[in-house]
Amino acid sequence: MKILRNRLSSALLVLLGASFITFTLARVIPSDPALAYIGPKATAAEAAKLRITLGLDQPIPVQYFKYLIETFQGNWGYSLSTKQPILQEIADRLPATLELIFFAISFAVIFGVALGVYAAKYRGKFQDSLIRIFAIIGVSMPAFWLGLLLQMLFAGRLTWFPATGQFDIELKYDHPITRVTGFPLFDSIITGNYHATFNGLHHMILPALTLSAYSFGLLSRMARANLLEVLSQDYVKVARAYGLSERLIFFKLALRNALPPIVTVTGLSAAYLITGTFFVEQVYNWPGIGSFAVNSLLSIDYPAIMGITLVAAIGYLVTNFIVDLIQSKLDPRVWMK
Amino acid sequence: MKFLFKDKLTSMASTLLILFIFLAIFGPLVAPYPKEGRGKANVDNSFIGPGWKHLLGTDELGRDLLSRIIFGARPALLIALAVVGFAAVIGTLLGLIAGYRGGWIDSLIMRVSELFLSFPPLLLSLVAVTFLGPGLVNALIALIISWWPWYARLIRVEASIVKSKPYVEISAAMGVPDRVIILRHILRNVTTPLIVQIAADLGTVILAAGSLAFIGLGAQPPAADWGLMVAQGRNLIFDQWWISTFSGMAIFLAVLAFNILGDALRDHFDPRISRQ
Amino acid sequence: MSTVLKVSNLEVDFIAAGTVINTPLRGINLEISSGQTLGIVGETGCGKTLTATSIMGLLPSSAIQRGSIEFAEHGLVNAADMADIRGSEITMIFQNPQSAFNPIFTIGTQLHMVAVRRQIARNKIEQLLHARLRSVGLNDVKRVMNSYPHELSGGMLQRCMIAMALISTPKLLIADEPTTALDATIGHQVLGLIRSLQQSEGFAMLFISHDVSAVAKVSDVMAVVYAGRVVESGPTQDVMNNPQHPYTKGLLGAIPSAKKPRGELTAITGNVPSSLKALTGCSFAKRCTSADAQCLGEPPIIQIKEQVIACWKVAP
Repeated sequence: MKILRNRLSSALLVLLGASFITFTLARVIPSDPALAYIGPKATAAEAAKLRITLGLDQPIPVQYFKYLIETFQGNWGYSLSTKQPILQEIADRLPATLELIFFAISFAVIFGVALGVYAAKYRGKFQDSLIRIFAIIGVSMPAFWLGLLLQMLFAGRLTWFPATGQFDIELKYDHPITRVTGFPLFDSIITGNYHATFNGLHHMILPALTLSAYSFGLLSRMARANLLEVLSQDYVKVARAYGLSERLIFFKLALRNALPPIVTVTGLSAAYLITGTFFVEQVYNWPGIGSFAVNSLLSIDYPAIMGITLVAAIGYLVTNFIVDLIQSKLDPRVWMK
Repeated sequence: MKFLFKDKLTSMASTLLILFIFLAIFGPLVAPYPKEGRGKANVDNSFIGPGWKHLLGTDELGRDLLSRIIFGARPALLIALAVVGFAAVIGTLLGLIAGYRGGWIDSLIMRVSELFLSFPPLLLSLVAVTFLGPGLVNALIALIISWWPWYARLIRVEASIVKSKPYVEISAAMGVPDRVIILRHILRNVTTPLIVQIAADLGTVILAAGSLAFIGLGAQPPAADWGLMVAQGRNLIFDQWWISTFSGMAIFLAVLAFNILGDALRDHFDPRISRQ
Repeated sequence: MSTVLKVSNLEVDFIAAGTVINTPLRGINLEISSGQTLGIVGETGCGKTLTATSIMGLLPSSAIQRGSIEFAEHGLVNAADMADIRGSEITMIFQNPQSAFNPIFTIGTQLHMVAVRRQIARNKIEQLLHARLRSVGLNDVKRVMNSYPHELSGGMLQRCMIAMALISTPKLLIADEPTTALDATIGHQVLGLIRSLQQSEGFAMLFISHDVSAVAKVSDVMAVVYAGRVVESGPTQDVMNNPQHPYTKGLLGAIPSAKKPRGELTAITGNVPSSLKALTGCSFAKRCTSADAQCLGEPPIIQIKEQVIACWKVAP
């Protein structure tokens, strides 16, 4: 329990810090929030009046404090561009992004780790080199470029997949998804709307692949390196000396030992995925937080940017927490600390 | 230096990097259409596909794409060097102070670093450049702000490891002044991981800068910035595919080369795992 | 008394890119009878551990082994035969107990894995493991079985390792520097434990250490190894009281003893020759105070009563 309390308090501190930095950047850097709100055509008087209304004439600490209180109360402000409540915008768009991230990370973990293990087993041979090349390519590819390439090749030239969007537009009329949890793909499965499920998956494949590339490369490199490190440890030599079969050693022992760092890297990848969605959703017109974030940034939508930063930071913290939880199950040494 | 060419992959990467540096320095001299590379439009020639006259085709303003890409090498390399350079210097200084001094200065610097690092990567840069205003210099500043904590933490960890090593304690006991201890022992041990990190980061920064430009928050037209060029060709990807494809490939190859180099450096300095 | 292990002219080369880069073992000869302990003593790097690894058949593919190994009723065995024998008839305990156990599994699980490998009946395993742990002096059996390696002390872990080694009631136990990583008093206890277990269970033992006094305490017969060759061997008492080879004399003279009068400890000048260069003649010649031109040739094997010495300067 004490560990939990410590984690929560440090998480809170991090959130406070993240919001403070963003807030400071927004207020301290020379660009006028009021002007951005009403546009450059406003007169000086209008701008001054707006400044008072928005509370921008107050000293910064007061503004920040006010912001904190409002945020806790659930009032995250209104988007300057869409004029909708920020919290609502985020809540509407979060499921689409979460589903995308889920598929991307699943793909990255399953294939990344599997290939990394395979490469470790056939170390030095042709398969190993091939996988390592794939991995380093994955890590080096710009997400937006990969997205465009896949779009052009598989949607444009080969028309195997749709180019943009989460579902076919007609789906809303032909096979509308009944809202249960708010997660479209998940809802379509539990309501038996398989037509929608297949359509959604069809749309999901290219964006998910694009988003997963970096994590895939990272994970396969890590899995390979960790496994090789574990295999060179004393306890593996001892196991061999006691006649345990290579198969047992490789699959049961070494893999279990190599898992903890892999779990950690998965958590780190999740962070990368969060900002990765910005680019992938833009390219594929995915109705999630990523595209909302890009639009907010380009239109300097202050409240929206603050909201998104908060959500991103929360997401990062939650992921790390889950990772640590899994770690403590896998590695008794961690838990003992 | 031999390890730079130890196998086919590393050789290819090293060659690419040499080419990259060459183009960054001598680009304007070798580009087939230098004026267009710099930005001069030639609208009659718009959207010509790859061919003999224009090896990689032309863009929406009729400019030879190959020349534009060549001209893009210099800013890409300069950004990478500037960001990593400044971030490494600032971060190393702060990390050394934190690691060696310990105490409240250590805590302060590390808390601030961790705060910055708790942002998902790139997010801080995106937010910072948004408020600074789009543009190359602002993108530079934003990236430096996000990058220095990595170095501060890396150096601080190494510094505190080295600080507790016997030979440093002995030096201190013999009255060797602090500054000298830091310089001699800590810097020497810190150099290797630092070099490996810098090599990898050069690639990552090019990627980040390209991403910023793609969104529209980095270099602005008519600059020959690779990320910007990918964005400009974005809506034309199905028909005039060469614009985004080749510009993006430039980014990809540069990042790939740096990553492979980073791997080679790491293997060279710490060959425990890679070779038996 | 039957011979449990006989090693003849064991040589090991390491190759890289088709050529020999290293010859760490240049001709080892050992013989152990059942119930007997042979102690191998020598400096770090002289090839002691490598000898054990070779006997077990665990050399990497970059190594070439020459010479013969005969084990118990099996007669001549090669590395492939060893794959079945090791872990059952020959077992080994290692220097660093903390790293020898897998950190993420409990001791019980790891002992269990070994027992299963030895095809001990499932319903008998628990009982057997408990008895084994008690036999090595660990009475709080349940706690030990449920502990992770990092929760136990070095001494306790070493006892666990001994227990693990004896699960299969081996004919030969190889102990590679078992007390080096332990505190002096604990190490002493562990040595005593090993010796008493040997007496009650009757296995033969190959005891490897750089600590001459430990070897002397535990071994019936001892062999002194230098630069990949056995330079002197014989019954422990004889070798300790009457060393013949210059290296042995130097080694024994370097031991501080409460019994010896105050005086200087001998220091052998020079360094162990690198195994990278091919050695001809006596490997100790360069550091030997009695060496001369004769020592450039391969030294003859001299036998004095039950001692065997490889030296030019020893009179039979």
